[in-house]
Amino acid sequence: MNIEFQPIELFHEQDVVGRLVLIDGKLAGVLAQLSEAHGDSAGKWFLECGFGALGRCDTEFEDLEAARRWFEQAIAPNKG
Amino acid sequence: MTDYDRLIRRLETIAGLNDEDKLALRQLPLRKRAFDENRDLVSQGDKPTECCVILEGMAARYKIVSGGRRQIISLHFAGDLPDLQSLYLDRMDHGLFALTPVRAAFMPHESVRALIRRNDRINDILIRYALIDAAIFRQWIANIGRRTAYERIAHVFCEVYVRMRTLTLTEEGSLHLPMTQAELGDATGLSPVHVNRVLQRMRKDGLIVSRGDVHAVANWERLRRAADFTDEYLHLRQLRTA
Repeated sequence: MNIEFQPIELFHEQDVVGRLVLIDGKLAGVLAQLSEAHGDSAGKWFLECGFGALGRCDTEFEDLEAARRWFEQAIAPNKG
Repeated sequence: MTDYDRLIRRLETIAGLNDEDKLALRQLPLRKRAFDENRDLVSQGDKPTECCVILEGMAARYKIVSGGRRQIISLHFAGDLPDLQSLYLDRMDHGLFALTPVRAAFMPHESVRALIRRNDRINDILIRYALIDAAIFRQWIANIGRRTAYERIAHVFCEVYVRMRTLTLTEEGSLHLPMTQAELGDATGLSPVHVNRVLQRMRKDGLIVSRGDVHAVANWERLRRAADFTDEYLHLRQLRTA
């Protein structure tokens, strides 16, 4: 699995720095970097939306590496 | 205002009470307790033998879902009876926690049951109380299920404002809602990030003004319209607003 973060500007009032998350070239989600308007969370990354199994995550990621780890775990085959 | 007056004032937003009813309510034994912010008044799984009345502060009912995520399912103020159902349902299927420091009083189920067997009017009022509770839950389901983030938060503000105004717990135009963005998110099914963005837009649009986690109504009519809010589901008597 190849996870790629592609820079993109977001249509937000403040949180305009974004990344398209591509997994093997397919759009899997959109990350936004939180602006100063978010106080203590400023600079962290937030999953605005995710597709398929990546549907919902209210976690803020410290940096893009943390986001990458989360995506890797989320798409890992179920070990049940 | 005595602790009994708070309960009586709340019940009078549902229906009128005569002197005999009030005297009977004043004879209920109240065991008073104080709770720090974030402490449970009653927890899921408890089997209470008392019902509680909020005397001061704000409390919320909640459920925890998988992964420890919390959904706040209702908000409660002075005079409210947030675990009235425990009178008939043995086991708490949700918890009740203090959003702010809370003072509450606990009334033994036996005493409440004895009172409603003696007094039909109070019995009817408590049944109406439980039915109105259900109406509020219906409204919250519609709110969380089908409204936008902006509308949801505006709706919670409108409800809190109208309920607190009716209980004369807040001044005209002033909304004391000491909820953090995470708590507002738990009440509206939104992430703190979304709550923060919505609050900023609401301030920019002139609907509310905020100081930290305390918000005030800046323009009631616009807030009401943004939320598509009507107070009919609260079934309140003696409405002073709207």
